[in-house]
Amino acid sequence: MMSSDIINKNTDRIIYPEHADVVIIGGGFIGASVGYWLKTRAGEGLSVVILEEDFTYARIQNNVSLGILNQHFSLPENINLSQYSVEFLRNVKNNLNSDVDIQFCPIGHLILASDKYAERLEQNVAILKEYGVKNELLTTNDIQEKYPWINTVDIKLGCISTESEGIFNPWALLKGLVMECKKLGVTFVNAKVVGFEMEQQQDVLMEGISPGNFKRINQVIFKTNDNEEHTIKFAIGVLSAGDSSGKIAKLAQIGLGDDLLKLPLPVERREYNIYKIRDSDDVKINLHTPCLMDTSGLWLRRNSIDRNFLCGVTPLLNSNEKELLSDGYYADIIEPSLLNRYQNIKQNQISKLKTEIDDCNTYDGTGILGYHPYHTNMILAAGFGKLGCQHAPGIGRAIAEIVIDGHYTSIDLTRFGFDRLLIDEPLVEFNVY
Amino acid sequence: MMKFLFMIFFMIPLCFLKNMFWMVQLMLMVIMFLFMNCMINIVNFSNLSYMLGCDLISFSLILLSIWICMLMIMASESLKKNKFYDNFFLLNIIILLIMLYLTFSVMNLFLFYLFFEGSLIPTMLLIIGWGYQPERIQAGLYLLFYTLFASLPMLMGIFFIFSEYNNLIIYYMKFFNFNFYLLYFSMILAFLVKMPMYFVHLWLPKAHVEAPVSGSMILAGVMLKLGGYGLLRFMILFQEIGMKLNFIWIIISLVGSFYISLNCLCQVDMKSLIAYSSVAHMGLVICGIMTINYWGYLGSLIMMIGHGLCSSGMFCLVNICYERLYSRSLYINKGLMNFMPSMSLWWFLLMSSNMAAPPSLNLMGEISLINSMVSWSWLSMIMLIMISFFSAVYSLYLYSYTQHGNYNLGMYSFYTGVSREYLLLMLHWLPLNILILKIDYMMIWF
Repeated sequence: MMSSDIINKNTDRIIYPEHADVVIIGGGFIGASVGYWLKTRAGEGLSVVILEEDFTYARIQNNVSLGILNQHFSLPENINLSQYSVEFLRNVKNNLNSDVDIQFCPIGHLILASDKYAERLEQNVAILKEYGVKNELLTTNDIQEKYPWINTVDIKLGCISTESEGIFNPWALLKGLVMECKKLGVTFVNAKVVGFEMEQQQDVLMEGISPGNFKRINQVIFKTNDNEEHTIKFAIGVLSAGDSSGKIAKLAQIGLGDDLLKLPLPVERREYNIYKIRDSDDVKINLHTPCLMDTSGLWLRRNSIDRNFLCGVTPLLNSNEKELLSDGYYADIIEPSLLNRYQNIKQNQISKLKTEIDDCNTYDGTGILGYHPYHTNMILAAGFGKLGCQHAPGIGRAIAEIVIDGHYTSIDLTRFGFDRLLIDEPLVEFNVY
Repeated sequence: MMKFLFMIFFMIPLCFLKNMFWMVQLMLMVIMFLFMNCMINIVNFSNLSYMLGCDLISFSLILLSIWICMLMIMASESLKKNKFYDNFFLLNIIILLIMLYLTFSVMNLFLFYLFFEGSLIPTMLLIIGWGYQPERIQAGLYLLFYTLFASLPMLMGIFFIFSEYNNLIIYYMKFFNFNFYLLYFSMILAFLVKMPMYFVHLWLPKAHVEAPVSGSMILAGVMLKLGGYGLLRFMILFQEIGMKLNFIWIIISLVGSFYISLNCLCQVDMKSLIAYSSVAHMGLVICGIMTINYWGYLGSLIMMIGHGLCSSGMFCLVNICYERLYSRSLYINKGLMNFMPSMSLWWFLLMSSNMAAPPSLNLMGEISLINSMVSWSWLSMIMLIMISFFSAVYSLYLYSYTQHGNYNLGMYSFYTGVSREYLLLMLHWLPLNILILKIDYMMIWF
């Protein structure tokens, strides 16, 4: 499952492309998905280059927490994106090549609500039914009957979807996307972006910019493994570098200028731990055990077909980068919630598995997608957090649509644009997983 | 005639002085207007001196080459801004102009061959030196070897003619007559590859896509016309055998132009589309010359001038968009009317000239060519219908795809365009659409 190199590095004389129609910075889930969709729709008409600094995907490799697919969102865009992801994953052998083994187990996602949010859950379920999501509300008795190992003392309502929610193998998805990209003709370059070259354009008229002062991004400067810097001229750049997006945006003067460049891209890195819970006779994990979302923000999922659980907490907006890794956090917040909810688990069954990295949009937690208002040739696609992997097919298709068609044709993600930061209207996804 | 040669030759030191980029362009414009005032005798060769002479065909094509060279410098301002070897670029252009001037004005077949091949070297240097992508090396090789190998038999042919008649003056060619098949094929092949004709046209799209704007301009503007000029001169030698065998080239060109016009509609790269359209137009020119009709001759000359200006203008337009958007792909260059509205006028004018809409020189050329083709055989009407129709189709396709419709970027911004670009395009369009008013200059030959 964890291979060291999914892209063979050809270290003989490499000729780096000097020009591309589309340059994608970051070749992770979203980057590879954009490359796949652009090439599927445009074929030879667009030359696509992906700049990825780590071909072993060592930092994404560990993301076992991303393999959860659920549809219980409050924003309609997220619901549509999830539904499309399910459709994509179901036909993954047609969409990508037939070797991809996505291991999609639609085991369901059980969301627990305490008294405080029970009404909200009901309203949400009603909205979801309009979108065609099949789910059912469970009372406390139902939950105790079906899943006796959950402590339902403080739970009033639960909701589980009966189809299209579950777990899948995100590594297989990433590998499938990257392989298909390579087959369709996307050029992968092992490089790290170190800057952008800007050129002053004399004849641009833009609202809010005095004439003659517009600086346009011309080329992206990247450094390869042998410490040499190269440049690529591009027409459209896609910034999908995950947690480094904020820093790369700063290289493009986003956040360091004035007027439209005043606001930085608020995507920062958060690290959190994944814990493994071994099975025991009391818990009895079987194939039908759903993923669980607790009232405290703790999520739990089965570790594919192994008989153990994985659990973790979704990082919050206002925690700092490593706060969730500290032992204090574990002892004070995670462990008590865990032991409270699942009373059959003993402390010795829990062990720390991995540390994972999340790109968190510190403004409102929802992803930023769309052209930047000043740099009209840069598309931002970052800050989706854990939903980045889940929604990657839909997001990639949306970006391909705005490049090729000029607007969103299937799922309208206009509200995800950067503009909401300019007018200060946060778009909050209530059900954050 | 020698005086202009010396004037161009002595502009070489001017290229190496500081801040002389625009001076060179200005001097070329001066040469252009001085040359226009040469009172040439349309019917015979005039202004004879040493090896040089001028008749109508040479005169028009030299004017075209000086004009295009001047516009090349105007179009390449980004080289000067980035200081990317602009002195050598100017030197390259001046040497290319000398070669072209000499090709068109020498009276001697061998010297014609010498400068015909000589003009390839600056062109190749232009493509390989100032092109954009790593693929330009392959493109340069294709250009060089296609044209070089095809014209080697022509050298043998010229030696044969010399051995037969002991002179190579072009004016005397009308008294000679050769009936050798081998000689015919070897002489004609060089020009067919240069034109290019359908089966041997592979080098052209490659060279155009990889060339910088100045390379594309000179290629489309003048280099293709070298082939046409050669055919115009050499067909006189082969009239009798031509009447027997020209149908081969006419048929290949007609059907080939049709296929290439269809191919244009599948292109995604704008430059590639215009390159294929050049092949289609030149196919018609080949047909015109091959019919050995008076109207065919006229039509091909007018078409060559018109197409030179039009194609070169279109490449300038594509470059204007490329400098702004950094892509030549149609997926990115669309809805440009929202983006650069003033350029739409020039897009329209040049595209309409490309599809031979009145009142452009292309229209005059096409009418004459259609006349000559139909008088040669009414069956060619079928293909001519298709070619004319599809040339309108792909010109309109390119125009409406790039200008109309949904645009890609620049939600809050648009470009006003730079005066230099407007001047460049106007200088392309003005002769194209105004020369029709004095078309008897080219239509009354002998």
